[in-house]
Parts: sequence; C-alpha cells; structure tokens
Amino acid sequence: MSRSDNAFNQYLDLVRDNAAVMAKGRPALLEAVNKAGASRLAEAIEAYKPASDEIPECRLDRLFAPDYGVNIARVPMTADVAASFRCGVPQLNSLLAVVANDIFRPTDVLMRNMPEGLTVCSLRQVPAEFEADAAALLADGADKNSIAGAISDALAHDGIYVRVAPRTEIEKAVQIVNIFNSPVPMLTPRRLLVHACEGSKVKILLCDHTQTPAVQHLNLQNVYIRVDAGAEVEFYDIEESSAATHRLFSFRAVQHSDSRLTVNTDFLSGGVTRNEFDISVPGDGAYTSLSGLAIVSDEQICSDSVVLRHLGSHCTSRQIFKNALFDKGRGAFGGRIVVDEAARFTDAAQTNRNILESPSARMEASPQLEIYCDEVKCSHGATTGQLDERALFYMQARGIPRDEAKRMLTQAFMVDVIDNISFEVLRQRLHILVEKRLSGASADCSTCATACHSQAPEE
Amino acid sequence: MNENQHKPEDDSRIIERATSGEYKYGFTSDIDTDIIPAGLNEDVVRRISELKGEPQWLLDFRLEAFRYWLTLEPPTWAHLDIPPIDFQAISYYAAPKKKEGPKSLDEVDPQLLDTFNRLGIPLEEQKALSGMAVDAVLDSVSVRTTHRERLAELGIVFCSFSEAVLEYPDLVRKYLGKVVNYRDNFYAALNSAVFSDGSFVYIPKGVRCPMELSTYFRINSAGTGQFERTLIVADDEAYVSYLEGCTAPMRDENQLHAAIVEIIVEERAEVKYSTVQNWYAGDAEGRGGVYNFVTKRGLCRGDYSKLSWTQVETGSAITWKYPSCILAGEGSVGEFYSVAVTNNRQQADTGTKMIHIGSNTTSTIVSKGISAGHSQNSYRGLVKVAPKAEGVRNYTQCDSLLLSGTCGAHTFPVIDVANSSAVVEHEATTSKISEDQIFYCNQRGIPTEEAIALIVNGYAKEVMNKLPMEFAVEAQKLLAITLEGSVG
Repeated sequence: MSRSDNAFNQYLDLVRDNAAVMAKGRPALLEAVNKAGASRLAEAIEAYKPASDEIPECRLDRLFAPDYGVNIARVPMTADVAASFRCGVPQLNSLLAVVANDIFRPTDVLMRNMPEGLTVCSLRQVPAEFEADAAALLADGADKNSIAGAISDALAHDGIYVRVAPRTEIEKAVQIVNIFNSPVPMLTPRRLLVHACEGSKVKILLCDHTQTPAVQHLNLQNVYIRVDAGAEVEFYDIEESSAATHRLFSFRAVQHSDSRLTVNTDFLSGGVTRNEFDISVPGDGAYTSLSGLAIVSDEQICSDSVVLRHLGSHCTSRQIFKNALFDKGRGAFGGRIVVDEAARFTDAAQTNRNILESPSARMEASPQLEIYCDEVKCSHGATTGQLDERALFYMQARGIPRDEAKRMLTQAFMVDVIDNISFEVLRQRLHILVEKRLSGASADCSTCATACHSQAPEE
Repeated sequence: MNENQHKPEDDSRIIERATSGEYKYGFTSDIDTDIIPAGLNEDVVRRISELKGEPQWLLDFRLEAFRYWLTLEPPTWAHLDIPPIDFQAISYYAAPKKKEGPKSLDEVDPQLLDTFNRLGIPLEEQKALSGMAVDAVLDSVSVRTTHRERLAELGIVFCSFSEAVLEYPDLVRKYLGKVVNYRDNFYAALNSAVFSDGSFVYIPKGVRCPMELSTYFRINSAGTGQFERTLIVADDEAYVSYLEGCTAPMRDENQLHAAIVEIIVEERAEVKYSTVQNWYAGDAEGRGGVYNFVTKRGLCRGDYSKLSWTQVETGSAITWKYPSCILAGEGSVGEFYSVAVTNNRQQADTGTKMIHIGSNTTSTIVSKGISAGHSQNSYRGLVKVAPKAEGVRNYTQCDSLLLSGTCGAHTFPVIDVANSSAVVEHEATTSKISEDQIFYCNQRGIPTEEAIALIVNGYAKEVMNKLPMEFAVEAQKLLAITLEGSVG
C-alpha cells in the first residue's frame, strides 16, 4: 500500500471501526453528512493524484499522513474553557462562542445576549424549525471535490449553525474562537454554517489558537456562507497558532442578488496553512471583497487559493492579497476569476503583491482569468519583489536602524489590506498585531486579536 | 440621424461581417509527392531515416525517441478541447517527387513556383527585392535554397536540416536535442522520432548575418503531418534575425503539425525569431483546420546573450505553443511579443516560459489576445527565478480583447520566485472595445467597421512593431484576413 493510501485510509478505517461510537446521540442531520462523506472518501482515495505543481509540504497525502487522534467519542476538553477564554477584542462587545478542539461551547455572554433574529447553536442542537435549513446548508456547503472535504464530512460530529433572520441587523460581531488543547496529536474537524437571510447584516470573526504549541494538530476547518438577496456579511479570519499546527481551510460562499460579502484572512503564524476560497455569485448586482495578508517566517507555509465565479450580471469584485516572506517561509497564491457568459457588466480586479525578505524565502503566484463574456472589465496584477532600497536608505540616513526601517516599510506594505477592514476595532487591533509580529513577538494567545486572556468582557 | 452614428444593434452585425473573412489562401497544388502509407511503427521511423540517407546515430536518436513516445499520453492540461487524434491514421512522410536538384529557378516545378506566387511570396521577387535568403519548405523536404553562396562567404550555414545532417554532421550532433530533449513532452518525442525536414542555421563567431533568414512552411498533402525541426545556433557575438511564415491550403480533415524549434545563443550573441502563422483554421463551424502543437525553446547559454520571440498567430484550428527562453548566461535577455487572434471555433493556448537561471537576467513578455466568434484564447505563462539568480527582472503584460459575447479569453500565468532580489511584475487586463472609443471615431466620420479595424490594429501595434519590416506587411494582411474580412 502506498503512503498516500495509508494517509487517507486510516480515516476510512476509523469511521468503519467506530460506527457505533459515532452514532451515539448523533442527530439525523450529521448522520447523513457522515455517510455521504464516507462514501465520497472511498472514491476520492481511489482517484487521488497530487497536483504536480503543489508545494510538497502542502500535499494532502503528507498533511493527513501522521497518526492523528480524532475525538469521535466527544471527550470534552479538560480545561475550563469559559474561564480562560473570556474573549473579546478590547472595547468590543462581541457575541462569543468557543470551539474547544472540535466541540462547540456557547458562552454565557452569548446565551444571555443573543439578539432577536440571531441563532447560534451546535449542529447537534438545531431547533426543529431550522433543521431543513441547516440540512440544506450542510449539503450545499460540502466540499465535494476534495479529499479533505470528504474526510471532514465523514468525521463531522459537531459544528456551528448561524442564522440571521430576514431584515435583521446584528450589531455585535459573532466571534468564534477555535482553541486547540490536547496532550496528543489531534485532527479536529470544525464546521461553520452561516445563513444570512434576505436583507440581514452580520459580522463574523473567527480566530485560531493553540494552547499546546508543541503538539501536532491538523485543523480541518470548513466554512459555508449563504448570503441571500440584499444581505451583508463580513467575515474575518485570524490565524495565530503554532508551527505544529497545520490548517486546511475550506471557505465556500454563495451570493445572491444585491448582496455584499467581505472576507478577510490574516495569517500571523502557524505551520502549513492551505486556504481555499470558492465563492459563487449567481445573483445580479452583488459586491464581493476578498483580502488577505500573510507574514510567513521560519519554515512556515501559507498557500491561498481563490476561485471566484461570476455567474450573475452587474457584479463587482475586488481582491487584494499581500504576503511578506522571511527566513525559509514559502507562500503560494492561486487566484482564478471565472466570468460566465451570463455575467455581463462584471467588474473584477485582483491584486497579489509579495515581498521576499530573505534569500531563502520563496513565492509562487498564479493569478488567472477565465472569461466567457465580452461586456466585462477584468484585471489582475501580481508582483514579487523586495523593499525599496532607496526608501531604506532614506530612513537610515535619518537615523532609523536598518532593521527598524525594514519593519516599518513591511508594515506600511500591509496597510492597505488592513485598511480594507471596515470593522474598526479589529482594524486597530490588527495594526498592533502586525507590528508586534514583525518585531518578533511570539505568537501566543496573549497577543491574539481577541485578547483571550484579557479581562472579562464588559457585561 | 447621421448614418455613421453608432447604434448598438449594428455592433453584432458589423463584428460578424468584420470577422467572417474567408480564408484567401485555400487552394491545393497538384504536385507529385512520395508518401509513406499512414501509420507509425519502428519500420516507418527506419524508412524515414533510410529515405533521407541518415547516419546511424540519427536513426538511433529517432528510435530512442519513438520508444519513449510509446510510453506517453497526449497532454490534457491546456485549456483546449482537442478531439482524439489517431496517430496511426497519419502519414509521416511526404516529399515532392525526387528529381535532380534544380540548378536554377527554371528547373523548379512550375506549379510549385505558382503556389508561392499565389501566396504572394514569389522566390524570384524575394530574392531580387527583399534581399532575403529563402529556404522554402513545401511539405517536408526543402525544395530550394537561395542566397547560399553569399551566406557561405561569411561562413554562415543556412540549409535544410537533411542537408545539414549530411554536410555538417558534427554541428548537428553537437546541438540536436540539447534544448528540447525528446523526453520534453509528447509532441517533442513524436517529432524527434519522425521529423522530416526543417532548417539549420549556424552563425559563426562574430558574424552579423547581413540579411533576414526566412523559411516558409506549407502543409500541402492532405492527411500528412508535418514534423519540422529547426535548429539555430548563434556562436559568440553573432547576430541573426530569422523569419518563419506559414500558410496552408484549405482541407476538410484535420492536419497535425508538431514542430520543434531549438535555438542556442552563445556569449553576447543575439537571435531574433519572428513567426507569422496563418494555417487553415477550419470553417466557421469548426470543421477541418490544422492542429499546431509546437515546442519552441531557446537557450541563452552565453553571458549577455539575447533571444527575442515575436509571433503573430492568426491561423490553426488548435494552437498549443509556448516559445520559451532559458536564461542561463549572466545578464542574458529574453523577450516574447505575441499577438494571437482566434475567430469562429478556433482554440489557442499559447504563451511563454522565462526560466531565469543566471544572475542579472531580464525578460519582457507582451501578449495580446484577440478573440472573436466562438473561439477560446488563452495565455499561459511561467516566469521562474532560480534560487541563485540574483537581480532578475521580469515584466509581463497580457491583454485580452473580446469581440463577441460567445468567445472566451483566459489568462493562466505562473510566477515562481525563489530569490529575494528578483523583481517580477505581471499585469493583465481583459475588456471589449469600448463604446467610447467607437463613438469617438464615429464622431470624426469613421464608420464603426473601420473604427474596429483601427482599434484592433492599434491594440496589436506594440507587437507588430517588433516584426522585421519585410514581415510586418504580411502580418498585417493576415490579421486583416482573419479578423477584419472586408475591412482590410
């Protein structure tokens, strides 16, 4: 048996051998997902062939190869989550939920302050009235083309369901903090389903943390967002974990007419991160903004891939991704804009800028356009280079040490991604975080955007 | 209402008319040819080699390539819809009937001369007026080579590949397959096994070739694949400008063309390679047309060497072509200028690879795609900077122009940078001709039809300007035929 077969088959065996354990207390909703996932997994293993241009460390057969534990028996995390993670960006009155390893734990703050029209619950406890909706989101949001998606579905035993009722505006951000804390290597399937009904507005902030940085961890995060007509969703994702934490992040979204979706992803630290965004815009007149920054150092790898499909007319999309690569850091950006025949008057732009700050850093960029309609305005640009020597000299001539000057320029380089964030408190916090990260502050929870260890939220 | 005023409903009609130009060079010449029956096996490879009287080492090279080819599958990664090709249904060799070599133009088959006359490139005229040396390739064997004597005085070798094998075996053996190995890809392996003829150019040290070298390829026999092999070597401080132009007569069945072009550029030498490709693209419904699967690559081996590719691609049903530069020498320069026009059901997946291995190497890529009808036009490119290549500079610009609502324009660039001192830029835009531009022209009394022609010409000008003067005229003509029909 080849290595790749082993890497994936262990999960298939796990599901087969522990059917009874998994079935315990499992709602019908998840049972369907598990079954569909397991059958897709068997097929996907047969068909698996790594892409020739993939970074070797990002290959799925390598990422899945370690003998990870999976918490199918739903053993709760021992730490007192609620106590140690009174999370909230300072001055931000957020609606906080915690995912401890792979188990959803609503906090008191959330339960007590749940605004009218908002539902945030575990996929194991979806209210009967929304069960059909959750099932539809689960089915639509399944990552059917990837072996990681099949594993995630086959092992799913929890997840978060967020629903915003029609014409409801949720003022506070829904904040979801993923915490990893385990003495043994673990794979954690995590799932977030969001349904923003017609004319609603919601902000969601997702952050990743590791409390046991030395322990190997594979974070299998699946996000699906459905943005109905006229709805507005802002989604922010901050990754600040450890070198032993690898992440497979699958983000999928569907946007209907006149909706707005803002997605921002920030990689501050981690091991091997593979972010895949797949956004379909069947509605007319929708607006999509995608942005991301990555500060990649040591032997970290951050690979972003974006597929944006314009299917409706009069849509606008803007993408900006920036990477700063230090040491032996590696970055990859694959961006594809597809403009369908019906997507007339599409205005799509994509920018990717990269700075290599060390001789052994490496960047691969592949911005692609696929256009089947003539009434469009599309552009993409990619650059890879280094900091401007003249600017460095100018600063040094004025007494700023070279390292400091470099840090300032790199920070300035990142500014337009951060300024893209309309969520003001988070924007301010990110400016500080990027500065700290560039000056070499260690990436523990105390520096998290959500200031996990800070004082209790004002309630 | 002024009749010149732009009316939206006219657009589709005008573009349709402007893009429906019939293929003007669609005729077949009846020249007797020797054809090996269709099919491909080791015996066919041996027979080709035998017919050409090749030495053993070349036969071995062919057989090795053939055996490797048997293990391969045709590539499927391109954004192309290629119908399955039956490689056993193709005849792999067609040579004009053997005669004693013509001593003068009078001895050349008059019909052959007529063919060239109808193409608008009579040998006589070219020889007399343009000062170009033309090695005309009709089907697979070189028929006539001109200006040989004058070039020979300078020590320049410009002859058909088969002649070179016999007359300069050491040179050919030294360079053959050094840039495009037979293991490179499916079509390179096929070509290495069955290549029929092509051109060989050697410019000795310090020589500047006094004229533009030119070869016309023309697929003439139905069902005959043409497997050209071109090898150009520019020794230290040499310079040559090489022109390749193609037209093919109208045929109903698909014809396969899998050529290899290898270029080696030594220290401080410069090679300029220009192509105008106008093979039969099939009819409006996509029946027939040439499949053009070509591997073109140059190695800038010497320091401060320069290789420049310019191509105007207007023909072929399917184009799969990526003229590339391996920039190994310090300070070497690679350039790629391309205009690719697709109409009706044509498909093109073309672009370039710039592999920066040496320090301070620079490359420029300018690609202009124009799509009309139901065609699909893709740019695919790679810019790779090796870890030890310091101070690399690349600039890429690829623009696409869409002339109909049913065509596709795609861009697939890959940028792989492994050295922090590199500066690599890529820009791409896709749009249709803007209403404003047409309105502006209309206002000034230019009818919409002419306005479109004007804008398309202006759009492609940046690349057209890179073509040698002699070629630019023909290139414009071909662009007009493919795209502008009666506009001219």
